[in-house]
Amino acid sequence: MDLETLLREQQDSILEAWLNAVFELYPVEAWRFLKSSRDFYQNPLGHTLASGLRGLYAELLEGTDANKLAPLLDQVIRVLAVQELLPSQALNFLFYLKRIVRTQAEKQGLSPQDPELLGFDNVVDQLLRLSFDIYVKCRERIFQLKVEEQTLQTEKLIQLANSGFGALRKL
Amino acid sequence: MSKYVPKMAEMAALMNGQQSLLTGKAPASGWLETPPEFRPGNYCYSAKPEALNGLGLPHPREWDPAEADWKLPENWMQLMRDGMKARLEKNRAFKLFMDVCVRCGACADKCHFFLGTGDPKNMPVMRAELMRSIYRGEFTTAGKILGKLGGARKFTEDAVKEWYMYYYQCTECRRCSVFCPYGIDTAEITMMAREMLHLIGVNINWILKPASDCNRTGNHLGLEPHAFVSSVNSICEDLEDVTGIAIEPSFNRKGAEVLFITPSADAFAVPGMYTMMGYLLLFEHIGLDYTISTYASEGGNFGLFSSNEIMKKLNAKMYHEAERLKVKWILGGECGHMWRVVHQYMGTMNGPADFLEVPKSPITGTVFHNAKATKMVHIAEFTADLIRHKKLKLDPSRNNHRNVTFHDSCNTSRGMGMIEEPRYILNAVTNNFHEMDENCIKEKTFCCGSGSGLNTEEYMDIRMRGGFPRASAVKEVKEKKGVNMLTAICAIDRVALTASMNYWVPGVGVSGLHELVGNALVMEGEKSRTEDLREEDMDVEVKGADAQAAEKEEEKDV
Repeated sequence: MDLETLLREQQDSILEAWLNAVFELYPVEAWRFLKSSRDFYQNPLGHTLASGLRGLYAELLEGTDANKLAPLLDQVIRVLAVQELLPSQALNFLFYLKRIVRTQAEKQGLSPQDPELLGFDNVVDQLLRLSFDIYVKCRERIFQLKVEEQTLQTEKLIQLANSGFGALRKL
Repeated sequence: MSKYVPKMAEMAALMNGQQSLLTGKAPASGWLETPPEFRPGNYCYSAKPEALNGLGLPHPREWDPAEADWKLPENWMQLMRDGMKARLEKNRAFKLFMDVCVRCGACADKCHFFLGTGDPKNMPVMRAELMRSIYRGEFTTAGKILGKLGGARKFTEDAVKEWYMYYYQCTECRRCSVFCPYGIDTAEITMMAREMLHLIGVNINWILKPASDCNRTGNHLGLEPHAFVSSVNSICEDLEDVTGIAIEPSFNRKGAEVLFITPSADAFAVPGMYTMMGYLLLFEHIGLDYTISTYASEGGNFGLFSSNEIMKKLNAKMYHEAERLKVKWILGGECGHMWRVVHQYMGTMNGPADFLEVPKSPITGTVFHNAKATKMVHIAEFTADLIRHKKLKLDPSRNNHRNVTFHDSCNTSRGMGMIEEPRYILNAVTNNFHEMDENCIKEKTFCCGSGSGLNTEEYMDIRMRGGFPRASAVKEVKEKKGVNMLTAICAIDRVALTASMNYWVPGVGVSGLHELVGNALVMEGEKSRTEDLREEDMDVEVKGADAQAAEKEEEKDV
């Protein structure tokens, strides 16, 4: 069996293992909830992560267009970047994918040195590079927000102070 | 073997060894034994001694939640026990809330903090359990005997730290209460916890500093009267630059018909100041006889997030000023928690305000019987009534560049039932209003994620998690309907959602309701312009008095 056939045929079990691995970042009381099929507004976190990962997987089956993959990575990483996770933990989900696919491939008798498998690893590595950029961009946004918030709160007052409270003349 | 070949076991240990509150597979200890871990981004800074001194609160000191030693008073445990006992005796609702929960789980998935963090202690039932377990252990016979078996425990320093983390990770939004079959008001449990924590000097600066400033000068920023006046006047200058309408608001004028009180953020902060422009244009448009107090210069009341005593004291200035200025009634601006205080507590706390009249709109003659007790009318009710009676000249096309959705603020929707008025106004002042999903609007609205005094920058990570459910809904209407403006009638929302949108849904701005009203108002004597109150390009061109005069001249010449 070639890798693409495997990725398509085993899609459900690979995706389930992948989602489980990500949801297991959360405490046990929460991951059952996150996995549940409640509607979007009852489980926005679970839906956002799951649809992002499913989308990524589907896109990977179609090709390696970074323009299509990046928004899906963003959808997942934007959430994980503000969770109680270290950066290494937040981006661990891509390592999981490699491990899960390799486990499945070995079961199907593919050699660990199979060129397609090595190629898949390489694709995921490229996703990881993109992910670093996205993660750092998200964190930088958080720090920018702190600065912007201060500016929005005070710029009027500073403007006033600079004008020497000139408007007092109107009193 | 090369040293670079990874040893799987070592790698696995490294990856999985980074335990934290939310990591690792099933935690090794039960939730009651898992202590909170304070790290930058997940807690609010402790209150500074001067803020406590300003309010006369006990145990002012410098301390840091991230340090092991919180420098609690020696008898802290006794203070907590006595405080809880007193509250159980005094407040029957509190006692009932401690006893009555059957752990049905209806509230579990309703909290935005749980939905955004996946932290089980953010399930309202579990958050309340942090207190109920102690209630059982300290105050019930069964709990004293059964101990852990009966889900009971005693006060410990870790429990206090847990309270600090989770009762300041609740925005008192009351969404969970909507779904509780017993109507348990989890927000009131949070309020009680915060009151008790005050007894041992455990509190946050972002609430107490504004409360202390407000106690001194009348507003959260500590603006003294001259600075407050300058700030509003400066907004008027900007307003004149854009519209050509010169407005001179009246301050502290005795005998005005109406006292107008709004959150002070409207007087100095972006985007609140654009909402202020909207109010001022509206008042000018209808010729309202109003005045603004430089002492009751704050609608917000951070006492609500602290204790009932502070809330009462900070609220009292509204009636004091109304009486001193001899107005007939009070008009209140767009604010969330201010209205919860006014609607639910002011009448009994500082009323009755016999010196005021039942509010009557001087323009339409409508009597606001709903405000008979408090004598205070919400500006959305006031404006909706004006529109209903066709007293406003509106051109909604001036908001055509805004594709608007509406965020129901928790306090106005769940706290006072204000659901339809803002929508009625939005439909009159814009041509493009789109609702978000019905599961997250009106009384089921999601909190902005930063209410009840958590809107501080050091708490940004948690705020983003808490704001995630609301932002997800906005993202949906942005993608489906092209929404580019999120409107809210709350000053905290306007700031909190600005950050939340910038992170989760870039491209969506945040405005107050009356900013859009101001944009749409056709003012007599206005000048020609192509920009809205924010000085951003509109889709339409306003032909002002100057252009109309020029046209007439041309006609004459022809």
